[in-house]
Amino acid sequence: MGMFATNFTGVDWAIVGVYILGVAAFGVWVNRYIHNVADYMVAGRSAGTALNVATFLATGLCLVTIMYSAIDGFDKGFAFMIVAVIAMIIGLFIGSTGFVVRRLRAAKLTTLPEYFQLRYSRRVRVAAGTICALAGILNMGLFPKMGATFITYSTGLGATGEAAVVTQDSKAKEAADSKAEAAKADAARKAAIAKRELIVNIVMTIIIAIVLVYTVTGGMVAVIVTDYIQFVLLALGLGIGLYCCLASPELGWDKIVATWSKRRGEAAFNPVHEGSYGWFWVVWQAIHFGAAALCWAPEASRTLTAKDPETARKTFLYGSPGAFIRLAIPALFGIAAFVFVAQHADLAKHFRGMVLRDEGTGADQAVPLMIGKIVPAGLLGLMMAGMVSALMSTHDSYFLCWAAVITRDIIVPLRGRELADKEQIRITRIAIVLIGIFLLVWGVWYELPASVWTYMATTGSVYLCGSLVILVGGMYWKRASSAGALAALLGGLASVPIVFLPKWFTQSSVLTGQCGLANYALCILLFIVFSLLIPDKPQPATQEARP
Amino acid sequence: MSGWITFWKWACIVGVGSYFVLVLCIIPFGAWDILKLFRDLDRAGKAPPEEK
Repeated sequence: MGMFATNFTGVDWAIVGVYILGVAAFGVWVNRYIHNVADYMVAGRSAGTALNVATFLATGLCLVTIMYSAIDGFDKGFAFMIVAVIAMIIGLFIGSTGFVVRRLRAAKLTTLPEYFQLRYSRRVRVAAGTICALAGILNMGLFPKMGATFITYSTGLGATGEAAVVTQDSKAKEAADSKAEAAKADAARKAAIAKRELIVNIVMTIIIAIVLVYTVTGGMVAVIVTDYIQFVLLALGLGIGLYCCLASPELGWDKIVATWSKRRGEAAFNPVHEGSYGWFWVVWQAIHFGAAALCWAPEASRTLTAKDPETARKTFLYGSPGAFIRLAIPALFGIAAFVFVAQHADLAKHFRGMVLRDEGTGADQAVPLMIGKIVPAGLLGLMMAGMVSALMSTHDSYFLCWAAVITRDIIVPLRGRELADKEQIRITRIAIVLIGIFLLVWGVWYELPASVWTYMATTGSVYLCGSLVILVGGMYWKRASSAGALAALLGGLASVPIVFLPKWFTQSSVLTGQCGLANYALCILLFIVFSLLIPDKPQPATQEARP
Repeated sequence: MSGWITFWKWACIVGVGSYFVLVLCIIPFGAWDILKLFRDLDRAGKAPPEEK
C-alpha cells in the first residue's frame, strides 16, 4: 500500500453518500413542523432531556474538535487530555448546581444577548450580539479547511499527490547536482497538492450546500432531529476508531504508553510539567471551558431549547461524560498516530521533512491517514459517515445560532420594533446563506495556523471574556450596570491582536495562557470599575422586574 | 510519571465506559423525545393563536 493510500473503497463512499442524502432529506421533511419563530429558532422550547443531551453533544463534537484534539494529542501526548477532564468537571458542576443555566432557561429567551437587554440595556444587547456573531463566524472559519484535510487523508484522496512527493524525495540527492531537476520536482509536488486541495474544496462545498438546504428550511427542529441521528453515528464512529487503535497489533495501550514514555518522558503525561502546557494554560482552559458552556451561542442555545429549567440542568449533568469523550478519544487518535508514524519509516521521513521545511508537525495529516490505514473497509465508511456527521451537526447549529443572533440581537433591536415571525425567519434564512458563502470563501483561501486550538481559543475569547463576566455578574451582583457591561464586552476585544502575533508567541502555551487569563482579569476589572462609577438610573417600578 | 499513566488509564476507562452507557440510554429515550417533539409542535401549530 502506498504512503497516502488508505482502506477507503467504493463501498465506503456509498455508505457516506447514502447517509448524507438521507439526513438532508429528513431535515427538509421536518419543515412541516415549523409554525412560528420560536419553532424555527429554539424548536418550540420542547426538547426533552435525552434529545437535548444528544443534540448538545453532537453540536460540541465537530470534525474540527476531533482535529484540534488529535493535533494536540499528536504534539503533546496524554497531557492534552487534561482539557477533557476539565470539560467533564465543568459539566458535572453546572449539571449538579444548575449554575446560571436554570435562570437563563426560566427567562424564556431565544438568544443569550436577549438576557443582556433584559438585565442591562438595548445597547449592551446589540454590542454583545455584534461581538458574539463576529467572534463566532471567524471562529467557524477554520471548520471547512480542517474537515477538508480530514476527509482528504482518511479517504485516500491524499494519494493524489503521492507520486510527486515520492519523486521529490528520490530526487533530493540529485538536486544538489541539478537545480533544474529540483525545481521541476518541487513544481510537480506543488501542482499535486493544489489538485488535492481542489478535490477537497469541491467535497466541502457539496457538504456545506446540503447543510445549508436543511438548516434554512427546517431551522432548529431540523438541527435537533438530525443532530440525534448524527449523535448515534458519531458514537459508532468513535467506538470503531478507538477499538481499532487499541486492538491494532502495531498500537495498543501498552505500546502507545511505552513509546511516549521513551520519547517525551513525564512531559507527555503531566500537563503542568515545564516541557508541557504549564499551570497558566491549564487554569485558562478551566475558565475558558466554563465560559464556553454558559455563553458560547451554539452550546448555550441548548439551555434555551430545553423544555424547562430542570431539563437544562440535566442536559449538562448527563452530557458530562460526552464532554470528556469529545476531546479524549480524538486526542487518543493523535497520541496513537504519533506511535503509528514512528513505526513506519516512509511516514516518519515525510513528517520529519515537514518539520524541517517549517510546515508544522503534519499532525493534521497523520491522524486521518492512520485511521484510513488501520480501520478496515466497510467499517471505515461507517466511521467516516460518523465523522461527516460531526462536520454537519456543528455546521448546522453554528449557522442557525449566529444567524439567529444577527437577526434577533442586531437587526431587530436596531430597527426599534418587533418584526413579524415570517419576516424574522426570512432574515435568518438570508443570514444563514450569507454565512455559508463567507465560510466557503474563507475556508478555501485562509491558511491554517500552526496551532488550531490556540487560534480557536483566542477568537473565542473575544466574546467569551466579556460575556461570561456580564452574565454571571448580572445574575449575582445587584450593582452591575450597563456601562460596566459595555466596558467588559469591549475589554474582550483585547484578544484580537493575539491572533496576529508571530508564531513564537502563539505557539507558547505559557504566553497564550497568561494573555488569556489577563484578558478575563481585565474584563472583571472594567466591569466592576465602570459599574461603580456609572451606575444605572433607577427604573420605574413596572420595569424593574428582571429574570 | 507512573502515577500520571495510571491516572490517564483510569480516566479513559471511566470516561469511555460512562459515555457508552449514556449512548445506550439516549438512543431509545431520544427517539421517544423526537416523536413527542413532533406531536407537541403539531398540536401547537393546529391550536388557535391565543393558545400558542
